[in-house]
Amino acid sequence: MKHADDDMDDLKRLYAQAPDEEPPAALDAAILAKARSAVAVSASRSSAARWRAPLATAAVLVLSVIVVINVQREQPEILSVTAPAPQSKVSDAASAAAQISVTPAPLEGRDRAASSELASRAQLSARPEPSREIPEPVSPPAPAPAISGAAESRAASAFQPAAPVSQAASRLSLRADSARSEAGPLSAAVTAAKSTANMTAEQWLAYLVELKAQGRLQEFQDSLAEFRKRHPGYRIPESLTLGPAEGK
Amino acid sequence: MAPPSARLDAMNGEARGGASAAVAPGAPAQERDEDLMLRYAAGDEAAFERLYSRHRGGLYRFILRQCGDRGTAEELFQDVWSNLIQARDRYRADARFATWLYTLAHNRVVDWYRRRSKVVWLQFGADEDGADSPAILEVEAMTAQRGEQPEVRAESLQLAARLLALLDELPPAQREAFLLHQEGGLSIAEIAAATQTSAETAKSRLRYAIAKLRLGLAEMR
Repeated sequence: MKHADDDMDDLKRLYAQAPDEEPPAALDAAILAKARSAVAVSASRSSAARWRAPLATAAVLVLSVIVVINVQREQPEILSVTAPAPQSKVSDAASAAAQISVTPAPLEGRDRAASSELASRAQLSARPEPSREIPEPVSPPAPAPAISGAAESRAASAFQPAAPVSQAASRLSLRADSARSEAGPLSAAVTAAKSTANMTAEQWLAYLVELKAQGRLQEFQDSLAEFRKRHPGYRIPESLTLGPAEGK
Repeated sequence: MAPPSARLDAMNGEARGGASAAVAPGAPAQERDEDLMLRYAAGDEAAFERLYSRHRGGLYRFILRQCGDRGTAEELFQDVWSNLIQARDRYRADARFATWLYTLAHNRVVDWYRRRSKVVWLQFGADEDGADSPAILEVEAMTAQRGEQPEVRAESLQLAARLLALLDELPPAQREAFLLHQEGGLSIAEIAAATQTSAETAKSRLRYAIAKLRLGLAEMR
């Protein structure tokens, strides 16, 4: 093997004396230019890749903020409808029905928290709209001991939890009418019983005239009987004693 | 800015034979080819220029002396460097850079052979000679010591020209093994890796190449 190595060294020396063919300068320039452009392209690609992740993150953040703002902008409107408003402008009969049927019962756990939160948000709401001030209690109504079963169920159905705004307004107006027509006689009698206690005889008689004119005969008769008890010697006008209601 | 050829000439002191060049004592330590390649892969253009200047001559001659035609050699030479540039991100410094470079060159030359002629390709893959041929025994007996006198120098130049002619007559696989050793500075194991053969095959090819060249030169004397 030593001979082979010597041969190799000898040949190596001889080979080194052979002409040094080299690539032409133009070829050198072309290859170096290609190497440079490849580096430049990869550098531009890497810089684009470097910005890709931050840009995507920023876009996601902006979209998230927009969604949150939109949700917050719409939420108070729904809440202001669902939250109970203390100053009701519904008709007297409806409010009376609400007072009777929705006696505040102790709320439990989550309902209580939700109710208080909704109430506070409703107070914070800057622009309360008239149609949204109709009381719409969140919790189901507690049973009112003095009310009959039918009236109780009607009252319960009248105060279900929140609904979309547009439906809520129409539904509430229907409920008010319903309360006026169905729960009306009872609530009027009670109202009359409460209010007539402080009336003078003349005021009471005027009230009776009004009841009769409105055709609320049952209330009229009840109130008249009460008047007679309270004012036994008082002369009742014939227009009240004579008529279809009193003629029975 | 100096033209590329001028800059390459300035750097070309780095040696013929590329990575096989030894560093002179006291000279600043040369940066390893592998480090230069990694730096180029990271975007350092100057690292590529240094690397190119070290290997351009050897690689060019390696290709030229196999295909025998300048035009083809330039085309293949450019292809090899283009492949290297494209593959720079995949380069791992777990082997010598020269081995990787000459592997790319070997693949490109073999591909060229395949396209050129199937017959030549079959010759390229085959080892023609058996072991211990008379020629080898004769070459092993030869050990010539030469001086540096002018007449000896002239004789050397003649012999060098004859050597190239003999090299051209070698079977392609043996010629390639010899050129890989001479131009790339590759060891037997590295030649085996570059040509995807066993170390024994690479060693055998190199031995036969040397034996034939020595025999041809001896006939000339």
